Amino acid sequence: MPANLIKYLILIISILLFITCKNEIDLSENITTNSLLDTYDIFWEKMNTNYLYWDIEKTDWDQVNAKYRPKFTVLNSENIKHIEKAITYFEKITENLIDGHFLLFMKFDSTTITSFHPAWEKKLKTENFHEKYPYQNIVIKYLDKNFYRGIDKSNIIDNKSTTTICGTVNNNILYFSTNQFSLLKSYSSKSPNSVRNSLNFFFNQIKNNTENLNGLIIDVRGSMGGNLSDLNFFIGHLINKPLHFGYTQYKNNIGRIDYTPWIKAYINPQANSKKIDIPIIVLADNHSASLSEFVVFAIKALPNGIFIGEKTWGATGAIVDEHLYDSGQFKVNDCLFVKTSSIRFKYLDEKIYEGKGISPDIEIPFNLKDLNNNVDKTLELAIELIKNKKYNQSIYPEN
Amino acid sequence: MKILIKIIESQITNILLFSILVLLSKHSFTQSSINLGLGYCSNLSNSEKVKPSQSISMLKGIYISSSFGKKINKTSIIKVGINYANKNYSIIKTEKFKGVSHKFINSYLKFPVILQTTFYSRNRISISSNFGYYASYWLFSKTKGFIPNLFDTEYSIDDNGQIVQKLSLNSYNREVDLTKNKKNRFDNGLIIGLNVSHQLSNNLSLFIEPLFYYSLKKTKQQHYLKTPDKLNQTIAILLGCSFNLKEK
Repeated sequence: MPANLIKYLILIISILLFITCKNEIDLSENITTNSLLDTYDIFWEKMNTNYLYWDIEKTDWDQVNAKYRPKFTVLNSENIKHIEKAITYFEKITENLIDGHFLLFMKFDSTTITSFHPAWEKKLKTENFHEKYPYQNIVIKYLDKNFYRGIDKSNIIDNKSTTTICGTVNNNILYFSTNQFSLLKSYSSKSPNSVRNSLNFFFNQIKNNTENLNGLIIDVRGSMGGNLSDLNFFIGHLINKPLHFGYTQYKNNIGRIDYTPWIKAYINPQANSKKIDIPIIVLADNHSASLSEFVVFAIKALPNGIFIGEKTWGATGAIVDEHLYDSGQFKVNDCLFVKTSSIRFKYLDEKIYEGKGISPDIEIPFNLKDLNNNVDKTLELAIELIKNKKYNQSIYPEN
Repeated sequence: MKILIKIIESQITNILLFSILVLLSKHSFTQSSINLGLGYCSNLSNSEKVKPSQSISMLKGIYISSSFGKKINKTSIIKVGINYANKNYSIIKTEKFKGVSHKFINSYLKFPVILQTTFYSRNRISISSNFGYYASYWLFSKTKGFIPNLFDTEYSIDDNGQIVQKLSLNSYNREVDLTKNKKNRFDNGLIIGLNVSHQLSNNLSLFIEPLFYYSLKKTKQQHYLKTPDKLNQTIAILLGCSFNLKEK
């Protein structure tokens, strides 16, 4: 009987091992030396690890693999038409991703170099889309004489020099705008630049002249973001204690949704800064992205802050070194560069605005005709609210 | 309820085997024993890809063992049991990310079936080999550590006018939702080990038991195409006692 029992057990265990192992597919057998398939496989796999929004993403990444992997298996990297097909597939695969920072840069051979920015493609299709507008040329008409125009040609982001405008309206409203946030870099630069002068004027006004100011307007329209250090540097001058303005979350392992808990996000005050009690109005449009959106969040989080303009871009993450959080931007086989957020953010209302944008407290639609006639309705409303002391949420029109 | 059905469906053979053995054992309590043990276990495999600026360490975890043994001949015992095992590991960032760390605490229920064969027995000391099979279920997972908060960071300017970032580390502690994470929670494999026991009386003996668990399931997550498969190998060392229920 014991001998039979042992035989019986061995038989059962053998069957069991056969049954439990049969579902495992050795994928390595299916991988050919086709470099387009190889690139796709690495891309698909890295996206699982590095992309941040799988828990709220509408794109079903498993479905993507089921649909597109077979298509890549028949592509040959030596065939230019196949390369073009691969590019189309990569675009199709990523077109609905919500990450506003997401950018695919593809270089499969020296003649086929292309990039794909899903958020931009989506913007192009929206009804109220408009090109980026050079507001700085118009706002100066509203400013008092002797305003500061700053430019730092050595401080370049995406081929653009950092420029600022700072001045007053009727000597009692302080106005500041920048085309991108790289202010600390210009301010601390060894080389002389007029950005520093405009910032010095701005900081001096809010430090020593607030009793003569009725309000502050910060204009981030058209600003696609910049360096995270500018949050503390710029907004940190308007507060005298850490400002809790949202929550941030990071990845801590290789799973799709291996997140840390949400951690409070703060902006820390600058040394000797003081709390600004006058109304602060931020102007933003649908090209205001990334760090500009953090500035909007920060000003909205202030009790005296308000946001006027258009809905923002919807790129509320940030990009840092991939190896810090094991997420965000990555490269595949030197032919695919993927730019994607490394960290994500939700506002005080616990909502994630990635891919959606922040809705203004008072919406002023973009009007090219007005602007071409030197009329900036958004700025005018901000001035009027401060001038007529109508800075009270109860008077805001219903949107 | 859906989860329960899925568990039953996917592990039907394991459950069947377990039930048969329990039923076989239930017919008679003669020459049977209850074994209780406590020790530690550790994962041997490195299931993470090696990345720049980080190191991965397998950490010891608690191991609690309980089993029912039935003598099937003069030298052999079949043991079925339920064990609780902690298999933990940590990821520690190095170099420029020094201070950043993540600890993963994973708890499993294991259902082993072991054939224990004694090959040495003298002066109340016996040495036996263990060979068997186990099925296990990943009960829960917790993660804690220190992570830099980019939104609580101080910046300064160095002598060259460069911006210097001083990251602030935030501690965190969080239970991992294994259901949402689509992680493979079932595991099965082979067990091999030794049992050295000292008989204190007719009914009681103490034992020490090193065991090696060789998983037959690949541990990589479902969304890996290129990452090589890894097997989950575990060692456990137990100290325990065995109570003979009836001795003929």
